[in-house]
Amino acid sequence: MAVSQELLDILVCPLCKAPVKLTPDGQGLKCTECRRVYPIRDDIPVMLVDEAKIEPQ
Amino acid sequence: MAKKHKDTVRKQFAKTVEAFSKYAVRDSGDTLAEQVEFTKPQPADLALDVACGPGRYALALAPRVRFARGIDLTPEMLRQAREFQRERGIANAFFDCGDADQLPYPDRSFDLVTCQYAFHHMQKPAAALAQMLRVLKPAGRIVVIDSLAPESDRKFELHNRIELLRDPSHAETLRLTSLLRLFDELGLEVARQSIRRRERSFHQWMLRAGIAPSDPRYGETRGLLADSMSGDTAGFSPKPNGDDFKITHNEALFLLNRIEPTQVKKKA
Repeated sequence: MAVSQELLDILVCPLCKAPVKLTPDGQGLKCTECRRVYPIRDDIPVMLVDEAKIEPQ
Repeated sequence: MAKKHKDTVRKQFAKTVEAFSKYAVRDSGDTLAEQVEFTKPQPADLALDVACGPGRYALALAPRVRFARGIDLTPEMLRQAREFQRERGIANAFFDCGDADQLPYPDRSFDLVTCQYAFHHMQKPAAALAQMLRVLKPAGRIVVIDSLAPESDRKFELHNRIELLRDPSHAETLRLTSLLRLFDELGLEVARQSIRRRERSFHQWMLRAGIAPSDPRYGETRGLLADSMSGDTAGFSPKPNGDDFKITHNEALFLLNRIEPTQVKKKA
């Protein structure tokens, strides 16, 4: 079961509450403000600040 | 929640996912149906279950609502939830891994936000409830279900000591009066409430926490319970039952609404 866009639409960054966007490789969700990338593991978005990596841009 | 306690919660539930899912599902068919009825889900509802565990409640709500979402701190629990979802072929449920203190949803997103049997694992249930309120639509409903601790200080202390000995991820079972105060402080009014006594086997209760009779904590917990019989000093009403004990938890179900500022004015 792939993660559908409709289901991702409601997710926001737990820290800044800005929208997140699916990364090009489909493996993560990137915050449009703080650039944290939250991983998707086994089709489950992991929206934990401790598990996110900040991308340089 | 402090990070250390959260790690304990994740560790405990990762360890007991199988036992917990098996016993939680087996023990509670009727209770689950009762809880769903209490919630009165509506076909147009977008529902969120906070600290959803293996997803039993979210998946029970799903056929009755537009969409049911579950969020939990422990990935192993969510994988189990996804498996239950696949088994039952439920299309309108979705699960996220996340923290009840920092819900990854926009303000005013859900019609129904629920949290069952989880406040007692939280060091700051008020923070979780505030988040639940944040993501709730203005006319939305909140459902909170949890065990109740005895009101008297001495019983309260021993009650929680026994719970913690059984399960290191236990934080504190709250009193009815503390829960009502918490709701009031956050501007929530109780639309409906139900308190019931749930009797269960001590042995099954321990197995669900991943503690076999060979574990020293099994005997220790049993000892404290046995000592509490005279005068029911821990509030579990333990009764010997063959090799086992029957114990009782008081459980409360609350349906909560936001108190609108206009309503407050009207009342005054």
